[in-house]
Amino acid sequence: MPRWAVWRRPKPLSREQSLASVPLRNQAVEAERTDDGSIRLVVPVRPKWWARWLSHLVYVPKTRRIVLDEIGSYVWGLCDGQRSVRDIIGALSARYKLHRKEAEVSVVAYLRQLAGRGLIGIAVLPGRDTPAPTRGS
Amino acid sequence: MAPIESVANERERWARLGWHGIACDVPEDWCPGSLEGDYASGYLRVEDETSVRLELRWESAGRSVLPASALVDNFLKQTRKKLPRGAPEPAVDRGRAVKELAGLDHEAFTWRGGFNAHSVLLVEPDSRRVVHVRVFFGEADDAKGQARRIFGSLAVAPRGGMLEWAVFGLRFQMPERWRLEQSALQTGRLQFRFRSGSDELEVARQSLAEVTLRNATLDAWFQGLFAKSLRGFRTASRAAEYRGHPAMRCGGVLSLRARPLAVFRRRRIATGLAWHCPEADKVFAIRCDTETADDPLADRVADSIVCH
Repeated sequence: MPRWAVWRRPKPLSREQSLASVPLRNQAVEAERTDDGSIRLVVPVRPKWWARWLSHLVYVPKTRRIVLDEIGSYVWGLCDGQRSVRDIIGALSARYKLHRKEAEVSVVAYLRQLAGRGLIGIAVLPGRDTPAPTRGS
Repeated sequence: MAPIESVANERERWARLGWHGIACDVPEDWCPGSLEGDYASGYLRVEDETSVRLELRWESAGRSVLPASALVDNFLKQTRKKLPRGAPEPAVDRGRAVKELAGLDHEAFTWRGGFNAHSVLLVEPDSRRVVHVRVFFGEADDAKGQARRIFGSLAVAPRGGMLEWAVFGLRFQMPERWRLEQSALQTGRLQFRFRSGSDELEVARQSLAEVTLRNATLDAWFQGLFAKSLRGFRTASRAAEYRGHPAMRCGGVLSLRARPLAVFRRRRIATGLAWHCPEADKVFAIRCDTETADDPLADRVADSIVCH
């Protein structure tokens, strides 16, 4: 959907809906464990036209590697398509003895970052005030 | 005045919330959503997962302090004005008292219409502040028990000369003359800077202590956290034990070599204390910058922190 199509943008989720939503890892992303126990993500890259052209001359990598820190790796492991954002916040606050609000702020920001990079998808469960899907969305 | 009946659900878990000397109990799953203002006037909003549950407003009463009932009259008048045209007349149940607030000029009342809230408005005679607490409730549950507990636990005056601070699980007490100058409420780190005249005191709490201290010593973490404040001080640190936890203490004076102009000022002395509480997986730190040597203030504040 183009950025300027404001009328086609779905309504923002309520806090309750976003906490009930379920993050799911992108199946195209491979995760491998490093020696220190953290997770390294191998993300396939779809090259742009100019990168494809440039690849005839120089080496352009086909994958991108992202190394997650300890807490990032733990949250990545919890994005299994079963646990909701609320469950992940609960697990993180219990494991690292964080205040629930502290855990919530960091988990939500982190998941938003992962989703923005296309590493995870977020399944929003239909609720009472779930926005109706718009045509073409 | 008839007392508010009902008691809070005992099974519910409660936490303390204190800001600028106004403190009360709130259910553990309610978290501050907005904190604004200073000692004289300000606003605090507390939310649960779905909605705003508590609002706290305080302001300086000025020279002529009106009685609580007159302030409630004004509040109700102003709130009625804000109602949309044609809205049904709100039901207001006034003239109630909270047993625990006996001795303070206060009035508890309930508003139904547009929004539903149990409120208590009180006038604190020493600080001359008007404090208004509202506990919101929905149609299904009138939250009377919760409101009763919150209002009953309300503390607006210093106890033993100390003001209570409690937010996101960090609880401590500060002498009443100290005022909050700056605060940082970040994920994993809470930091408050207080000032009284030229004296300065900072309280900090770092979560994820094990992860933090994996690549740094307690001393290095402390020096990094307060690097700006300790600039120019010639400090010496030593390992110590505090409440059975590994700790570090540091002390020093302002170096004249680093700040030559400080020769015209009184001698500044920095003291610091940090300890790692493995039970809570947190590091607590106090930094104090005063004129007096061996100032017990840092230890006094540290002693008031509930660490685990």
